[in-house]
Amino acid sequence: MLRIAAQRVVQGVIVLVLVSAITFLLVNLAPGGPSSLMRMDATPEQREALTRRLGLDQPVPVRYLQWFSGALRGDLGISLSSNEPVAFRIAQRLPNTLLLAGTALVVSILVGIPLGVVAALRRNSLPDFVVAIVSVMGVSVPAFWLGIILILAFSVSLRLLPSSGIAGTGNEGDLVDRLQHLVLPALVLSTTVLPYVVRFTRSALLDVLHQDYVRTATAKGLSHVRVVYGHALRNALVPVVSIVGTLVPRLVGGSVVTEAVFGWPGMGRLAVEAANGRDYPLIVGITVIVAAVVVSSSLVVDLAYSWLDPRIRLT
Amino acid sequence: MTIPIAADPTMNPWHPNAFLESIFVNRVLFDSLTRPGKDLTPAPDLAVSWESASDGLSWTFKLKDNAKWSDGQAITADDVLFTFNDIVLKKELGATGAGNFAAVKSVEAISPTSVKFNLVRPFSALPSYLAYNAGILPKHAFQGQADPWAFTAFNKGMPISSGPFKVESYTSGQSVVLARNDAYFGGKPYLDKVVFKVVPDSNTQIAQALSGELSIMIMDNKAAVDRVKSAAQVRVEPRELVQYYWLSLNQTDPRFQDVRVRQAFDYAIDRQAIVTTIEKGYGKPANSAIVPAFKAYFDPSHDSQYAFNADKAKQLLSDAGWQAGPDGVLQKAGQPFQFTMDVGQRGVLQPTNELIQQNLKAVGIQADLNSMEWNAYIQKVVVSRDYTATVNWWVYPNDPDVFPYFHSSTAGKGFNIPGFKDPQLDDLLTRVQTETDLTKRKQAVTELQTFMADNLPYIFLWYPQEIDVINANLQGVPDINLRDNMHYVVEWWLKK
Repeated sequence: MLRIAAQRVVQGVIVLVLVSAITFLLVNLAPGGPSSLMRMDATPEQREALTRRLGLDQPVPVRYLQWFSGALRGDLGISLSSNEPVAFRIAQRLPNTLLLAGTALVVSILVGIPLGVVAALRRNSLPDFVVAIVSVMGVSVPAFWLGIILILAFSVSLRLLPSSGIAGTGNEGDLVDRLQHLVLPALVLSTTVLPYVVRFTRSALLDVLHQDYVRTATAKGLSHVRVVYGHALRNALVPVVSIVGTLVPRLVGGSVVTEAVFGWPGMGRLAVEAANGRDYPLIVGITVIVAAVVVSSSLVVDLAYSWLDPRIRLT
Repeated sequence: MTIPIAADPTMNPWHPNAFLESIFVNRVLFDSLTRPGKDLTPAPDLAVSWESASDGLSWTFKLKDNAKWSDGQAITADDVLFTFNDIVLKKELGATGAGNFAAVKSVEAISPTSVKFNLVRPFSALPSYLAYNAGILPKHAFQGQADPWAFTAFNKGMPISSGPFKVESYTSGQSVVLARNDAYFGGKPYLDKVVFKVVPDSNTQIAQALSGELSIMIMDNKAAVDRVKSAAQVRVEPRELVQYYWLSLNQTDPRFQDVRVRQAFDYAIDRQAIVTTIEKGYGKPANSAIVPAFKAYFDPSHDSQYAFNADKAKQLLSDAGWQAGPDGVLQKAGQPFQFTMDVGQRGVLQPTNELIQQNLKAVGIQADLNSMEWNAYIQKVVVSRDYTATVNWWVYPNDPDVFPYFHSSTAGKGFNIPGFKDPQLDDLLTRVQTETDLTKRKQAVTELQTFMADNLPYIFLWYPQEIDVINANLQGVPDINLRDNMHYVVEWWLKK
């Protein structure tokens, strides 16, 4: 198992190197340039001077090798838009996104699994239909629209919750204030993954409920509750663990929109700003870090999977 | 008192990354020699008075003698010299706004409280230009900094500043909090704090203005203006801007070199309809680069020169040799009148281009739209000049000196986007730039407007107004646009 885990780590590192090389090449091939050059009020002389200062007169492969040798030493370069180290900018924002995405994921699991169980046990009844309709809506309603509607309802009309930011100005240490700021964005972000948890739990449980050992358990006189929660659900949850791994990229994508609407200072917004402003080192840095999060989360899920179900062997 | 900004600011007015969000913050933090007066003419700020030499080749500014930086050090001529000689005029730094001071050769100190700007050519607009994002920087803070742009402890941290407020805290992605600067030479501000809150989404900004979380904001999307107007907790005020929208027809395309074709475009495009539908009536059709906000210079006699008239447009196109083809598209020498307009994805440009496309179709011109992400658009259209026609706008300092946007020397790669060149226009621009006698300067500006309206170097579209949404409690806000108002935050107060 250790050998296999080590093997997966090596594979992950190779993936990260490839991701960095491809991203570096693609962003440099994209039309446009750093926003300090692409402003209406810059003269040709200013553009020329800045191109030289930013080192953009060097060929892309040379710049990549420079970046790569720095990255090996843990230096992800300097952000073109703020002149601060890329690692510093990411370190400022990553915890905020982990908090938001983590909350959304926990909410989705805590709410999604019971809903999926209800839908499976009451298959083709009213509760099942209601859960189905709500999940379809959750997938179809765009996060930016839902976000604005919630802001209008809870911030403008009811004045119950703040509409943007991570904390009130001057209130950064107040836990209650922080939780209030977290409610709406976490709710909106969880709608991008909750429906998948519900649908997956439902179908996994239905599969298990039709298996022989469940019928055996019922036949030997166990209570319905013991059968469902003690035998069926435990086995049904094993595949549900695997889907959590696939939800992480979806959360990352969803956080881009959610963070913009709620002014949440996280990685999603940083990524949008970096892309719009062609902040090449920052784009590559964010991509590599996000890729690292995705790669390691799928590694953790795989390991957890084989631990939960010893029949599954990693190869 | 909270003002929204769309992104993190860079707290140095000359920094290449100081964009619109930075302008608001920097105008509060850094005083300049002059500031925009409430009538848009230059008013004293760090300078108390100024005069030009009789040959027009230098300006001398007398500084306030009691002005201090937020750390208590005196603001002297040395700071002005440092700002210009070591930052703005240093070509290899590529400072933002340096292009506005192309006429300045160097700055020298006459005394600790008096500076002289030496010029390469007479530049009568210098006092106005010095009021335009030209904050003075503290020399002593930059001592020992090899690269001023990489000085993040200053421009992304706690800068030493000169305005009525100074930075108390800066949190990336969240806010910049300003507190009173007790060393400020002017009056004591009524407000305790000014908070610039990062709110990237414009719809969220409106929601926050309505919920009272924001005190004053610019409503970029005017579609919802009537609904916001009906809200009791805010008031909505239109402000004059020094801005005009234009359609640039690339003069390397022979079709657009014919003035009759350009005039036909102006008649064909229903500019009043654009103002009415897209700007909800806040603005008016433009016929030159001189904005109505310049009350002393603006000539209203051109207002109805190109009132919407499709028949007149067709007639002019026919005079220019364009005849209707079989498919309804005009033709000349077998070539259809067809071209592509590059559309940058920002503000109202997309719907504006769509209206223009319909208007042109009605007179037999086929314009295809090519929508582009903003950054890529700037590279294609502005940097590479690889375009046929495009709509955009200019915002410029509070003076009718529009030399950089029209002079033949700026065609091809400078701010002269259409690449229009005409010796008579060059002559008028030079007269406006160099004339120091006010009566003669007004005469030159009047002639300039007539030339522009007749010859249409750009197709002038409209002069927009800004819509400010202001919390009912916020008082004492002068009737000028929000950027210029940043110089007057000291006068704002909150009703209890």
